[in-house]
Amino acid sequence: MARSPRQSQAKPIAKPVPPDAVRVWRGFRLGTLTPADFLQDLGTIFIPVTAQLQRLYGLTAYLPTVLPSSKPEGVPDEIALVFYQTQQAYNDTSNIVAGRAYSLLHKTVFAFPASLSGFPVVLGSALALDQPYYLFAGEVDWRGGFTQVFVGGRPANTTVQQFSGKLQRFFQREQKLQTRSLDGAIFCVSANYVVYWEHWTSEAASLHGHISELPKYSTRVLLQPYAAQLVESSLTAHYPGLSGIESKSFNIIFPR
Amino acid sequence: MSNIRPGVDDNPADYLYLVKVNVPFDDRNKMIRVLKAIQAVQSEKMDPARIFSSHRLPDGGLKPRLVVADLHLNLLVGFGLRFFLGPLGSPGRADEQPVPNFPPGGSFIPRTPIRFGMKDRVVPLYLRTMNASGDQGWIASQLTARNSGQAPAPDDLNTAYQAFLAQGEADLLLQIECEFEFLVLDLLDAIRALVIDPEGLQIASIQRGVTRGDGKAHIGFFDGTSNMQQMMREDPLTYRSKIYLPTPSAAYPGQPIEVRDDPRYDGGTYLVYRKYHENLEKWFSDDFQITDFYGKTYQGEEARRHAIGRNPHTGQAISRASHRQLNDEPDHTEINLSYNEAHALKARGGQTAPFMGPFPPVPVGHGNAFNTQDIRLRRRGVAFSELNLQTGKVDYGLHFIAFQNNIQQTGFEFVNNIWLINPDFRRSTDGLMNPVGEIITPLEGAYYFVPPEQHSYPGDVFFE
Repeated sequence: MARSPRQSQAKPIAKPVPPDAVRVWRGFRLGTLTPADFLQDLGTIFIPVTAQLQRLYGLTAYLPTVLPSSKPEGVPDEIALVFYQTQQAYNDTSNIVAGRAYSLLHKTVFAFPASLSGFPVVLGSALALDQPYYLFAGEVDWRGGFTQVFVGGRPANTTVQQFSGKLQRFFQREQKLQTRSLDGAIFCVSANYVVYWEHWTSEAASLHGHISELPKYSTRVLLQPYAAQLVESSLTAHYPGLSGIESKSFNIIFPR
Repeated sequence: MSNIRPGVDDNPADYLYLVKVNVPFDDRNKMIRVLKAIQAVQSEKMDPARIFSSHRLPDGGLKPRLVVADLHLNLLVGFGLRFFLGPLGSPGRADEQPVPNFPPGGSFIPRTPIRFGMKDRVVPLYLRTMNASGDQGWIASQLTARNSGQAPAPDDLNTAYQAFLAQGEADLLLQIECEFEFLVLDLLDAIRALVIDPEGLQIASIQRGVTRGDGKAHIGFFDGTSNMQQMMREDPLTYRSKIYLPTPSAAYPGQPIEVRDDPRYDGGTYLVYRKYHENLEKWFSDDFQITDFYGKTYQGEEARRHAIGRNPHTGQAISRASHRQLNDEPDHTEINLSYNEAHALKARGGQTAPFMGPFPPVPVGHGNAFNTQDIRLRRRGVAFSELNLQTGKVDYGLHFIAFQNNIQQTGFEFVNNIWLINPDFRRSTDGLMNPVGEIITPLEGAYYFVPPEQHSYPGDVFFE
């Protein structure tokens, strides 16, 4: 039981956003940081400040996942879905000093150009590596409902083409099978890994899904639901941030 | 008793892991495949002929150690309410009827599982959402403390309580134990690699328990002094009647007498799991105090002895009359002579006699009698001490595990709700568990059904 009263007092008012109003983040640890320092910086600075700052500029939901340090080479160290009211709301942050400061902050913990971020596009007949895709066009509030994530690596005996081909067919099947309960789905396939997020109206509904089939096509690194996690929203509060974040997926709760 | 069930009737091994696993699908065939895969791992790792290391004999020779017979490697699989009806908050869990602790009553209809196509089975009668007195109070205290002393609104408290319950549950609970920790990890890793990862299951949490080696809980008192040992040894029939489901199983209250749980569940049992944090700094402080019914306050070591009812060095019960140590009696009934506020007494219920409860209030001349000694459970808890590798700080506590064949009316929930946390019972709230004392804090918990020993694979009685 790690919920604060303020979390429960924040009555849920749904803020659905378009499926392409999300930055799909795949971050690799900066080589000069030790894994321990990386985790500490993520927990005490980067994750909290994302909510503290970006909520001022249209952030509606923030779902980071910190991968286990034992993950295979070539798989990101941290991934996240960062939802804004619109794509424009995110683009406008570059016109704001604090927005630019936040952007610059990435370079203190993440390696570039290995780390990638982008808006998803709807999945069509083709699949490009490192391009995020969404499966369903409806507007969804990813802060509510039930979200889970799968991260898998490319099996050693599988070519990139085989890897992406099997995953493409899986996601295209999912796209055709959409039920009302599965209202949001975003994925990205790279040469070495796949990340897949799905949003359900409830955990019970998610039991009818197929995410557990993904280990057939990729070597599982992580499959877990997101847990609500309150962070201090004030920029002036004395707040230590988060600890023990490795191998966890957070649905960050902040005023919006 | 010469036919003990490992993981239930025997004492816990030195290392015990509790692995909560969730199944993110409802496919029957896939679930059966998962359970068979667990069995395959179990068959390999728990092969009776498997040896691991050896020990030296007096004559200088070496004798190999058998992992099961000598090192007590074991896997016990429990099935949570989620497994049958879905997660808390889902339609399958709506309008759940709690089983009253005391007096018995109500009318219950058998529940059909909604998952894994188990349409010709029922959800075990006493597998319900955890309903332990004190939990909401503890949560309210935490919320109040975090909110600058302001008590939470009822809706907020309920939201937090439901989150607490949901977080504690899992579809499957794997209880893995062994005298060697490596073998626990070896078995767990095999399940992960061969079952959990390829089948897309989710590990909700892994809890590690380690016995201290001196037979004591972290609060400094022997644990399990009175734990049905003698009954198990000398009267296995009675022992099993408290722990395992009989045939025919209990009738459903308010239903025709032939309405009962599936006879294939015969020999199953219910596992209650609770993770308790222990505030040892407060417990061992000279300022620790408790007050008995008469208003007399005890402090420090004397207060701790009153809170438990035993001598921490010998384990002997202390007489509430003479304050002397008592000699052992059959089934350790001497504990009934200890302090009224003592945890050990409150958990046993007191005098072996029909007991007419003054609770809940009943009209004068009416009452509901029960025999205190009908209320028994088999405890199998193991201590934990979680080291924060960054700070060196250690959190202490207990993984409380108990087995019984009726959680609500003769098992954990009855003991907790009607005896321990009830200030009207023996005129005192439990000296150890009293929420006001802030020594013990429940961190999570849930109930599980442990089917009878499998003939094919864990949980085969649900599918075959």
